[in-house]
Amino acid sequence: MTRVVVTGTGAVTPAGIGVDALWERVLSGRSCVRRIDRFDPVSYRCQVAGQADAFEAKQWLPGRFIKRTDRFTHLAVVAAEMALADAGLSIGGTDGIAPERIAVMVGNVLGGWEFAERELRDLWVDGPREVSPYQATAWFPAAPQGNICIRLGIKGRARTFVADRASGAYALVHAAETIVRGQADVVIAGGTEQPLSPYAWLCCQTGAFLAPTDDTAEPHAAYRPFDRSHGGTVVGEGSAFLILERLEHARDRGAQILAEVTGWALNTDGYMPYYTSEPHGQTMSTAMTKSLYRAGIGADELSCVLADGSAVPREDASEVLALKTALGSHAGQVPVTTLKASYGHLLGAATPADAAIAVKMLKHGLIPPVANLSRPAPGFSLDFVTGAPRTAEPMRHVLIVSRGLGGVNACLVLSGHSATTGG
Amino acid sequence: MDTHNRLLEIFRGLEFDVDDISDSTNLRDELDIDSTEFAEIAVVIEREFLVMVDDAELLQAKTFGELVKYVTSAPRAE
Repeated sequence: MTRVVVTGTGAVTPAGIGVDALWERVLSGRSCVRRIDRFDPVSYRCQVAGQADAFEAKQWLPGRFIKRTDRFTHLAVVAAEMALADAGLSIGGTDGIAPERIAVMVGNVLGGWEFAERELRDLWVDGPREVSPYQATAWFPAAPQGNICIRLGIKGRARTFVADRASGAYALVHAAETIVRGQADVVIAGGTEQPLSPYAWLCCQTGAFLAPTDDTAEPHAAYRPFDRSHGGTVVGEGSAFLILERLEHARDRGAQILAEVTGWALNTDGYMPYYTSEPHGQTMSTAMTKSLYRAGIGADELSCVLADGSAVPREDASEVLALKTALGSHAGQVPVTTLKASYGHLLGAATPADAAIAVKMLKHGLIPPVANLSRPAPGFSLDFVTGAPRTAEPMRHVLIVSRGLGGVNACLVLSGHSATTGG
Repeated sequence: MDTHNRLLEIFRGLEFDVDDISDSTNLRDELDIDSTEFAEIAVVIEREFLVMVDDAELLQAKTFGELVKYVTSAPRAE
């Protein structure tokens, strides 16, 4: 059986540049969600977000690249190249991996609307000649995937997944399967999202999952997963990528092995009414159970669950029920956390960011706390990590849960490499 | 400002590094301009020089100097 390991991570998020900044943020248990200043949010129901304000594209990328592309591509390219550097990988040449043996998998929900909104306004006001010729290629969700391949000279498989908030999880699962099937030795896998433009934000609003906040609300406290006062998600912009690699390939080149992707599963609720999920979480629990089965572990061996934690009340409730079903008699003993409230739900980049954090959790043996979880909602009787990070010794296996509108479920198990090799 | 320098300023605005551009600079081989970027350049030339640009004719220009020549001879916009 081919084994898949993580050999590099990279992230650009509201917490800052790099995975270390993200790790420090989630350890603090405090949120960096703020009032939106990228556009005037006053007409919107949700007026707060995670903004990657530390990221200025022109500090990282050439001007001619920036003018052709949307910010969601800028975020992705920088995060992907950061992950590649972390893995110590080069592509092509005598020392690098063959370009045909490296693949790219990207999750994205919305596309590049900051660029597109500007150009569509020009189309309607001034006519088609005034629209940037880059509009079509800047907007579409596969733009980050294409630009990563072009910049790095990648010739292997490349795909973009659009599966609502589980898009990034789909990219990671497909990356692992691509390696297991022998179709690549290395996959740059992750996601990217830039929802901070008026139309993209409206799409999030009509998706009916955002936490309502007006200009009197305290931004830091708006996103409250599993809390009695949970009222919806707060979204953020950012990108996170992992380098997934065939174990032998990583060993042969003497790469650092940060973790192993041991389990995964995908399924869909297929539930009416449209765009909702099963209230009892049965299908989601099946995805959890199957991913544990694939990892070859029982619920009692889980060190921690990194829950989806959308803070949409019906989704929180069904996720708790799904976890209770999947964990069975161990439901009260397995620590549960969710970390998106510290920086915002990154939609297509959410699970890749979770996975990058899980790598840190496995390394440090620490479980960061859920931000803004003061009192769990009635019946949410799980062992939530709150207040301060909790030590987990030994830290072996983390179950990551992801879900999207329409009942899309995706779960992954990341394991410490020593937990799977004994060394 | 003459046409050469005005065009250089346009290229600067389109994020080119203009320090290395001379009349003999090849637009495709040295500046990596593709057909999409030509379309972008055509629209800016029309706007800045108030001329009518025929995209097919513009694409005939191989060097920066030939582009300057094309702009100089292009018909004025109505």
